[in-house]
Amino acid sequence: MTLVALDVAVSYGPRVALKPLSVELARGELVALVGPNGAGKTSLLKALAGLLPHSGTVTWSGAAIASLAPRARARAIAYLPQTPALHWPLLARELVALGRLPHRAYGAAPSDADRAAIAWALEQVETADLAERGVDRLSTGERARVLLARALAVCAPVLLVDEPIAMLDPYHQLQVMAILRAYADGSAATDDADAPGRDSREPRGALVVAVLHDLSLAARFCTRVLLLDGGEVVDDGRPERVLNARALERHYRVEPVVTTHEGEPLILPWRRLQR
Amino acid sequence: MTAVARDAAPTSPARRADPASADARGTWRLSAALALLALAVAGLSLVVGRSSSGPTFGFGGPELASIVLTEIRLPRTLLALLVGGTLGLCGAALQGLLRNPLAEPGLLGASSGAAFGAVLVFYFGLAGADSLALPGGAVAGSLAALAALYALAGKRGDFLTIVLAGIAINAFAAALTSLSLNFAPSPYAALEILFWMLGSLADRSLAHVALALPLMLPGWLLVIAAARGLDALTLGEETAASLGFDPRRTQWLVIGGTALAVGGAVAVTGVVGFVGLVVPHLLRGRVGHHPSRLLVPSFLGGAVLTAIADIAIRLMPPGPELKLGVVTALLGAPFFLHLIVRARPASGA
Amino acid sequence: MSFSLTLLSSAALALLTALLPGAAHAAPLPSVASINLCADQLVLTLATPEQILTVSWLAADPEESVLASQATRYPLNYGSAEELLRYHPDVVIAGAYTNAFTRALLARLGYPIVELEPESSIADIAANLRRVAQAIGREARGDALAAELRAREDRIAAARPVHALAAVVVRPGGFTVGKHSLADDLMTLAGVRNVAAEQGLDRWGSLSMETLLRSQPELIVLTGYRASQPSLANATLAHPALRRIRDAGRTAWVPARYWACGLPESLDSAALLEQAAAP
Repeated sequence: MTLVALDVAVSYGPRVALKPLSVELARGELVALVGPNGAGKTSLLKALAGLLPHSGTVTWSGAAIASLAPRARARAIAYLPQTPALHWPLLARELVALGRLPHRAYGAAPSDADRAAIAWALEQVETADLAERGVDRLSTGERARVLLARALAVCAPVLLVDEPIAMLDPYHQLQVMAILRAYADGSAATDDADAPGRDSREPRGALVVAVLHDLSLAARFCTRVLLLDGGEVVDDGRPERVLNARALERHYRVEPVVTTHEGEPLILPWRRLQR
Repeated sequence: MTAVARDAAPTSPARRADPASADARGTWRLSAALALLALAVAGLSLVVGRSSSGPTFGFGGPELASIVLTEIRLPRTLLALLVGGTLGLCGAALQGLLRNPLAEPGLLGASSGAAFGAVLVFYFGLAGADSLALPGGAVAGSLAALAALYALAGKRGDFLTIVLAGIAINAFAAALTSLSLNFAPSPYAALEILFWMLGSLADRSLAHVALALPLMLPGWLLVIAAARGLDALTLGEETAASLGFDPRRTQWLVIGGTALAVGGAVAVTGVVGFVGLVVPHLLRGRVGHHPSRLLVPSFLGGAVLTAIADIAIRLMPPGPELKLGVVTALLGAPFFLHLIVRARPASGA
Repeated sequence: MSFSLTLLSSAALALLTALLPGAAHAAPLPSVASINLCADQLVLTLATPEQILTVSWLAADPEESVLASQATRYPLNYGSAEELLRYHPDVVIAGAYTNAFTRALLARLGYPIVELEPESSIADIAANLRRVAQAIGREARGDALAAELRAREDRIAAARPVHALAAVVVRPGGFTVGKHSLADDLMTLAGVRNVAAEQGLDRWGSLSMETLLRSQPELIVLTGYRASQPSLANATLAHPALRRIRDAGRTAWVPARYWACGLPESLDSAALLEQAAAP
C-alpha cells in the first residue's frame, strides 16, 4: 500500500512551484516535508491530496487517485490545510463529525462506526470534554486540535497535514506529534481493538505526511524526511541523515546546533548565515 | 474505543443517548412543527378574502363558493407557500454557499433579470394578450441572468467573482429596467411596471402555479442535492474538496437551482424581498448552524412567513391592496436589524 | 339646435319602444362593472343607473374624474377579481393597462371583458363610446353621443381664431404633450399650434425650460392636478423662467382630468383653449 508520485510538477501560471519529482511513500511511515519557505512543500502536499492541478500522476495502491470517485478518494486520503477556515459556530463534536462525510451516504443517519470514530478522534486530541462547546468559544489551540480530530475521524489510510502544530502550545505540540506517530504506526487505538472502521486483515498503520517547521520534532518523531528546496527534493531518508548541519546551513541558511538529549536528536537554529 | 461504544450493543440505548441523533431529531421536530404551522396558515389563507368593504371570511355565498375557493383562494395560497418556500430555501442555501449570513436570492441577479424580462413584455404591450406572456418573459429574463452569470464567472468560478458578477448583473438589469420605464408607451404602462415589480399575489390563477412549478421543483431538487457539500464547505473549499465535495459542483448546484426556482417565483409574483434573508437567520440557531439542516426548515419557514404576510394584506382596511414586496420589506428590514444587533458575531478561523 | 332635436327624437324613440307590444319582453340590459378610471366615466355616461353595479374608486375622486359626484352614487371597487365576483356582473369594462393578472383571471372565470385602449385622438373617444355602448346594450345612446360629439367638434372648429397661437403645454413635472395624443388633437381642434408636436415630440415627453424659452410660446397651457398638495412635480410649475414666459404671453388652465380620459366633456378643454386664444 504505497502512495506513488510520478513526475509530479506544479506551476502557478509562469511560476514553477514544484519541478517534476517522483517519490514512493509507504503505509506505516510518518514523513516530514521540510524546507525553507516557498520550497514547494504545501504544493507537493496538495498535489498528493489531489487538490491541485499537476502534471504527472499520483497513485494509491496502484490506482490513480485522479480516476477515483470523489468519495472513494476522500475515504482514502484525509487532508488538513495549514490555516483551516471555519465559517459556522458548530459544536466541536459536530465539526469532527464532518470528517465522517465521505463514509456516509446521502441522507443516512450516523452509524455506530461513525459515532465511535468521532468519539475516538476527540479523545486522541484530548478534547472530549469540549465536545459540546461551540468552536467559536474555543481557544486557538483547542480549535486547532479539534480540526485535527476532524482529519483523524476520517480514519483514512493516508493522512496529509500541513503544519499541524503551528498554533499549539509545547504540551500539545508534543502530544500531536505523538498522535501522528501512533496513527502512522497503527497503534493509535487506545486498546487492543483495531482503529475504528478498519478491516483487521489489512496491514496496520497509515501513511502520514506532515509539513513541519520544527526540525527537532521532525527528527524525533518522523520515520522519514523529505527536504525540499527550490521546488525539488534535495534529500530523502532517515531524519538523522537528512537533517545534518551542512544540509541545514545550505538550505535554511541558518547555523544550527545539532546535538542529542536523552538519546534523541535535538536541532536548534542558532544563527542566521549571510550568503 | 470508548466505553460506551464497546459495552453497549449497537442498538437503541446508545443511539438515544447520542447527542448527534438528538440534534437530528430536534431538526425533524422543528420541521414537523413548521409544517403543521404552514398547514394552519394555509387553511386560514383559504378562508380569508377581501371585498370592496374590507376583509371577509368565507366564500361569498353558495353559488360563488367553489369558484372563489378553487380559482382565487387556492392559487393564491399555493403560490404564497411555494414562492415563500423557494425564497427561504434558496436564501438558506446561498448563505451556506457563500458562508455569509447576508446572502439573499436576489444577489445573483435572478430576481432583477426576471423583473427586466417582465418589463420588456409590458413594454412591447404583450402583457394583456396572454396571461402567461408576462411570467414567460420573466422566466426568460431569469435564465438570461443565469447565463450571463456563468459567462462572467464560470471559468474562474470562485465565490468572490460570482458575487461581483451578480452585482454587475443586478445593476445592469436595473439600468435596463429604468430605461424601459423612461421610454414607456404611456404613464400608465410605467405605473403598471412599477407596481408589478413591488411584488404581489393578487389575482394569480392556477395557470400561474402551473407555470412556476416546473421551474421551482427542479430548482429545489438541485439545491437540496448540494446539502452535504454545503456542510463540507463549513471548513473551506480545500477541506471540502478533500472530503469528496467538489466546491465548484456544489456552487453550481446551488446557483443553478436558485436561478431556476427564484426565476420561476419572481415570474409570477414580482420581486419579494427579505424572506430569503430573514428566515434562515431566525432558524439557524435552532438547527445548530448546519447549512444542510437549515434547508428544509427554511423552506417551511419561508412558506409560513409569506403566507402570513399575504393574509395580513387581506386584513387591511378597505382600499387598494398593499403590495406583498412592500409588506415583507416593512416587516423584514427592522426585524433583520434587530437580529444583527442581538446576535453574537460568528467567529472565523 | 341640432342638439335639442336629437334629444327630442331620442325621447320619442324611447317612448315608442316602451309602448310597443314587444317592448315589455325586451331583453334586460346587461349589468356592468368597471375597473378603470376611463372605463368608469364612459360607463357612467352611457349606462342606465340600474345597469351599473360598481365603478372603481378613482371615479369618485374629483381630481381624477369629471363625473366624480355621479360616481359616488354607486358602490366603489378596488379592482380585484374576488371583489368583482361578488357583484355578479354580466360584463366588465377595463383599460388596456389595468392589472394584467386581474384581467386574465376574470377572463379565465368566464366574464366578458372589454379592454379600452387609452384615447389618443378625438376619434378614439367616439370609437370607445361606441365600443362600450355596444358591450352594455346601449348602442343607441352611444351613437347619439358620438353624433353630439361630432357636432360639437364642428362648432368648435368653426369658431377657431384666424391666427393660430403658438402654444406649449406644461404639465407638473415638466412634461408636455406631443403628436398622436388626445391633448394635441384637442389643441388642433381649438386652432392652437402645439409647438412641442411641431418639433417632433411623439405622444408625451419631457420639456426643458430652455426648449420652452426658445420656442417663444404665445400661450402657456398649464394642467392643474392636486394643486393643493405639495409635490416636486407641482414645484416645477413655479420655476421663475416659466413665470417670465407667462407674463409675456397668455396662460390657460386645463384641469388634468379632462385629458386623463377621453370623454365628451374633454371637448370642454378645447372650448377653453379657444377662448383663451381669442383675440
